[in-house]
Amino acid sequence: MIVVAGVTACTENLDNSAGCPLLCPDQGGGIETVTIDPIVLDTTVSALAGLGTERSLLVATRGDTLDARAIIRFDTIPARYRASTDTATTAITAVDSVLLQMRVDTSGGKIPGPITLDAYDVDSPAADSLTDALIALFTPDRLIASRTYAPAELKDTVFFALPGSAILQRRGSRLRLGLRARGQGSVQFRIVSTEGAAAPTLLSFRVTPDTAVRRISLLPFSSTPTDQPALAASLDDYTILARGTSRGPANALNVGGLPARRVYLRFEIPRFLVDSVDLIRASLLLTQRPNIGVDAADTVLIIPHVSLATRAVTDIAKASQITAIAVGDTLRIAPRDSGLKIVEVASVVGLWRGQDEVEVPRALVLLSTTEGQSPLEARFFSVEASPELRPRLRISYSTRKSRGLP
Amino acid sequence: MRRSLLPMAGAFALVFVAGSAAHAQGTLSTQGFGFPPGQLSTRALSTGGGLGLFDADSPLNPAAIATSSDPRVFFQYEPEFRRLTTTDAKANTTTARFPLTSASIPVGSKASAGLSVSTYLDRSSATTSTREARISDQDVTVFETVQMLGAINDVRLALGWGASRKLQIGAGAHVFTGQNRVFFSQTFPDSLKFTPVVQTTTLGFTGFAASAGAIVRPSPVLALAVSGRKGGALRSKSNDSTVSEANVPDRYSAALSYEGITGASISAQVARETWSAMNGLGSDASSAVDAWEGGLGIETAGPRIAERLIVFRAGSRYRTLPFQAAGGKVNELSFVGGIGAQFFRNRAAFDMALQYATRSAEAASLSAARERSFILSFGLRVRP
Repeated sequence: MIVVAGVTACTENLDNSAGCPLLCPDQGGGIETVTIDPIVLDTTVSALAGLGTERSLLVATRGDTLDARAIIRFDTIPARYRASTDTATTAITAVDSVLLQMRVDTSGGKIPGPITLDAYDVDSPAADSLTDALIALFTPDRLIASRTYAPAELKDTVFFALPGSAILQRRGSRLRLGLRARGQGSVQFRIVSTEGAAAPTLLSFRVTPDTAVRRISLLPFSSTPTDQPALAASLDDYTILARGTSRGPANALNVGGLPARRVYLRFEIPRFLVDSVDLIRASLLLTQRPNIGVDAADTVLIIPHVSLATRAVTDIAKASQITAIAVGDTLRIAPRDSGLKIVEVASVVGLWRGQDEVEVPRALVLLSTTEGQSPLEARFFSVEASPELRPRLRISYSTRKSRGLP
Repeated sequence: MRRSLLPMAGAFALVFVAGSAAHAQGTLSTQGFGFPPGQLSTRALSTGGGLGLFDADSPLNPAAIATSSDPRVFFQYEPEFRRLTTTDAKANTTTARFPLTSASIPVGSKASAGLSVSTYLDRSSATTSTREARISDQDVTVFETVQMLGAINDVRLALGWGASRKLQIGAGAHVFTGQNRVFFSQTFPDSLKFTPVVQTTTLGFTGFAASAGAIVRPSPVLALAVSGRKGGALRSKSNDSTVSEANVPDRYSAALSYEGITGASISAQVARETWSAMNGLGSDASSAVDAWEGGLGIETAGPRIAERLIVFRAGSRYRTLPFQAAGGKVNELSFVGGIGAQFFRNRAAFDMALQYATRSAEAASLSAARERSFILSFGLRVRP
């Protein structure tokens, strides 16, 4: 029995808390909380995410508040086809059953009733960056086709029929479609873009009644700008704004909206709080100011990114694009809300500990999770507001500094 | 042979690597820099420490190794089962400890040299607590854990010389070394809002001391032993920085062994250790006091079982522990019994002991606190 007891003692149980606190003094750790005004620079900047980088294409017709349209490019319309049993190619002389297949996302959308989708020919020799020139092409004489969908039809995959002439007239050339929605009242939905999913959009058609010959299928493809293939890839499909949402006050911090905006916050935090203490909680305190614009009661999700831009990047708008996700906290608010809002940023402060502040300014960038895809915009007071309304940082930390001595 | 030796061989290796095991704070016995196991071999422990100054395996008297005519190694495993009872709570702990290993070789016909590693103060412990705190305008439950692992160990190099059949003398050089590693954690139920705090502190120790001792046998039935250790500087360091400095306690002890009863010996010892020399090594909250220790015991031959002579031992020991609890001394009274036998043509000896100890504090605030522990001790001595 003694031997068994000796062997079982190899599994130690050292926890002896019964005598605490009298027999284990000074073992607990104190916790201090401070609220500071560490923000030395805050501003609203353009998202500058780049034309065509959005994960979905917003199609919205909301009267005076918002007009967004989708552009989808098919720059490789073939002039010939090859039957599967033939080695030679044959010129395309007839086209029928032209279908544009798209995946729609109606979450957060406005589908008040039947919606008519119009497809325009928006091919233009104008530079790709000139979106205003494209807006001018949505004219009746460029209308290729229209189709009206019942609300129940606008889900998952939708098919839009085009006339065969739309292909025949562009053999060996390009077809660039502009999509615009209209209905009874405000209309809004999204089309999944090539950045949001693999092959969400497909253009297919038949070139012969012979069913042994497969349908020709084309993915969105942009051949311009020819000298910037990455940008050209983004322009396979993209959203253009005929009318964006109203801008927030110039002295406010505005997140979201269309065109999309971000907020850049630069911090100067007392060194000991970053370098010397064990951080328990760090909360960014923001005071929201109401925005009663588009969809004011809907929910916008705001996430903080940490800016990785060095001081060499002097343009704040550009510095706001060089970011990384550093926290798991997401602020869920409605644009019409007001009052104190809290974003947990402890992991960001922990990240700053490893950054050279001289090289990389300590900065946060607030952005919407649906940046460039949603008109929702949240607004906050900036450092120009009165002290109780300014953005602040509340930090809780452990005051325990043990050297290991009893 | 394989069945009995292999586990111990592993333990032997552990002792040389670690030097000590664990013990829990939050108890009466592990205040300050920890609990002193006593630096007694299983055999000496079984006699209440009475044989400690005569025992070649216990690193208390360098003169004791003088009569080791063969090379020998000894290692010891000593688990402790402790229960602390207060007015409203009680807790059980289990501590595995390897408190002592030693080896010696003969030098010429009258001397021996020995090296030993023993646990001087074992600080290993753990406590957990839960409390409510207000953090960032929110009431939060805070879970705190403090765990301390490590010990101060006594590494002794000793030389013993048998001047005659009536006199042995010896001297030793000691290095006190070891580490205390303190792990502190604060955790919170909401891991999204709150970041856990984890702190690890390592404290290293370096100290020196010298010892000397003698054993005198004025008659065939009587032996007297005296030993003294003079402590030098003892420093604690964190990384390369000295954190605190004090002295290794001095220790003075004397013992008597009477062997006038056939097949038996009765022994007693008394010791004084100036633990207060360590004050300053820790914080002001850690107060060490000079302490007396006394014990007596008997070792007697028992029956032969399987042609092996069984030795019975019994003893008792009373001592004051070095570090105060709540400003008052902590006293320990223990009773112990044990057996021993030799194997393999007497080239191996195995000892077992069971010690029951009660500890109480003099502080009024701890009048209801009682600590009881059972300590098992296993010692294996091999003469290769």
